[in-house]
Amino acid sequence: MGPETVNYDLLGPLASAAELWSGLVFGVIFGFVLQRAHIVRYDKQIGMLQLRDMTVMKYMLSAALTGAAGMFFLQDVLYYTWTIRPVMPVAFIVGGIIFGLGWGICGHCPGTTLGALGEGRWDALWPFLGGVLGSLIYANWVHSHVYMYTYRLGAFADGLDLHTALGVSPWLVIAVFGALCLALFWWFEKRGL
Amino acid sequence: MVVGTMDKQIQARIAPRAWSPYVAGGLTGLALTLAMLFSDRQFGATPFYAWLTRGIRLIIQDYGLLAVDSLGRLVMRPNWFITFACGIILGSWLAAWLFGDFKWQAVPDKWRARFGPSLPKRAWWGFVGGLIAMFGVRMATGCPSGLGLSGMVMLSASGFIGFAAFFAGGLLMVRLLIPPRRSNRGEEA
Repeated sequence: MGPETVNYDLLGPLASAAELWSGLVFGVIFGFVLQRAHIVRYDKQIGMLQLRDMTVMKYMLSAALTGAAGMFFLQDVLYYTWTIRPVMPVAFIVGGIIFGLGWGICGHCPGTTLGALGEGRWDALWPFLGGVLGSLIYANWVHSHVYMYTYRLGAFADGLDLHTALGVSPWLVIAVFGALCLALFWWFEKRGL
Repeated sequence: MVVGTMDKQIQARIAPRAWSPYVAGGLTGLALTLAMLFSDRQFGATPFYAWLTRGIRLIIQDYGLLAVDSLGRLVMRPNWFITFACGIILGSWLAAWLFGDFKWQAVPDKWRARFGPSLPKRAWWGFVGGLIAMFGVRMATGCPSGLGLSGMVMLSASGFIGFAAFFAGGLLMVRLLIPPRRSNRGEEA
């Protein structure tokens, strides 16, 4: 959902009540689960980046694995289709590393910042306010100067699925990904991480 | 220090156990599948920040503090992602309240152990870190949930590249800020 693909036009028509309620319901579920697993906390986020407490990594990979199985179930059984975002390696790698540097300082990512505020850990207020300013700086003064490089160099405009790239069934990719995740989980548990 | 230790003991006794991250991850995977099924939407927090940013700019530059356009309609009209982001706050509050886990905390334990109890220090570096993080997120067109998780569930290369880059940057910064030997003090947290 990049700036090019999401409709950020605030002056468009008002979203339907069904859409707004749906967003609220899924947001509540997501926030509830994030809080219950304590993913929203600074200590857990930094613990993962110290490679001492892999709770957040376990959560992320479990969610990715279950979600992948769910999504391809939808595709195979209900013939769901979706569009994947373009692969823009420069944007993802440069932007991703910049994000990581900031994340290492403040210890919250954009979604968990909101969750941390919800459970009273208001140390997340500062990353939230900083985040709004960072977003403003990028969108207003930087995006127009860099997107011709970050969006285009080495990019696949139509996106790239791993299973398409490898020419195999998505279920094979999910199985291999799953096996790797399970091996990693087993290792985390063995080391008490 | 004594108060802090007592706090920690009381907290350890009454604080409810966290759910297993595997169970929580499984539920999240299920929820994002259902979001795709019912709403054709992917989880992501970045659009909320983008919406706030664009709204602030529109209000400052074009519409003034009343925040309405010429037809009297609100400038910042919400969409799925906005109620989703509000839902995260609400859901987290609900879970914390139901399970007796809500606590006002200005300085996290690990931060206190490494950088001290100063609130202005936490506020300043939290602000700076958040600014850098969200700058990077906007450049990368998504955050760990929107680009990483939502990309990985579609087996899109974008998700895996993003995930690796986020993690690489984070590892590097934490290694610089909290050298492994000194971080022992914060481990109890």
